[in-house]
Amino acid sequence: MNDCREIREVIPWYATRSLPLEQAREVAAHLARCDACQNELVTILRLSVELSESYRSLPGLPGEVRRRVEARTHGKNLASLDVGSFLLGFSLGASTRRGVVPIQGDLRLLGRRIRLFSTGKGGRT
Amino acid sequence: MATDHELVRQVGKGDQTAFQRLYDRFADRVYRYAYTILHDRHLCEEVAQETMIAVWNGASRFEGRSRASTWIFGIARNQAYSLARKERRAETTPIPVLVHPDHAPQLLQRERIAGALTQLPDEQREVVFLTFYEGLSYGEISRILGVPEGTVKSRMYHAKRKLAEALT
Repeated sequence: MNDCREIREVIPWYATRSLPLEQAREVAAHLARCDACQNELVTILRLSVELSESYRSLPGLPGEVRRRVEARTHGKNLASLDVGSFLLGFSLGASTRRGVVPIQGDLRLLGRRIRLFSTGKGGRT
Repeated sequence: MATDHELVRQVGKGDQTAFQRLYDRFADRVYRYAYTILHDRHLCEEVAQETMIAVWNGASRFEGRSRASTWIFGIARNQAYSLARKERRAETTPIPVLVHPDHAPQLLQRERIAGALTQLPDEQREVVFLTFYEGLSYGEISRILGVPEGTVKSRMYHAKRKLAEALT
């Protein structure tokens, strides 16, 4: 893999560090002696930053989807209480599964969910 | 910290805590990936929901021949295209970009790029997302899309030409 066409084909994956090591070495060696491909790399790196920011700016997945998923994987949702926001909040939920009623409490902190307590043994329904 | 692969194995044995962790790692990413195909918030939510339920139901059959992320995005893709066919709503609409008044020139460029992104065919947009947001290799992308590696490179080649014009 030495000509510019072959190198430019894989430069996006070189820029995102997802090329196999051997191939990345070949690209690096070519870049060291080819101004045109260096310019291509700079363009791709700029694109990479802008695209990542664009995707990151999309609104996140609403929390209610998690409750719907849990209802269909862990049991039927009986009641739930949710206070706070995506960044800081608390949720309490009760569901039914095989005749038991597990209750779960979760803290939401900076978009992460931390389980505080859960009654009832977990298991595939 | 457990790897994705280990979590899928645990989910396959019915471990709900492992499933919660897998959900935390993937549900939002699957949702954003669905945007490259569907562009409708409610449909994308449905893709994320059905994908994670399919992960729960199918984890015991995961053989580990590919990375867990490849497996999960493959499920998401099937869900998204299945919904797109059902809803017939796969037209392109602008991807929303957050606006910050202090960085107007950068935002104008970002909006141009977002605009160029919406003009790409779905199959090129998928490759762009999986490369630049997910950081997947072209080999992994070829497995998710079910096309040869050369096709992935070709889609990227055409996509980057159009996107680079928006940078100038």
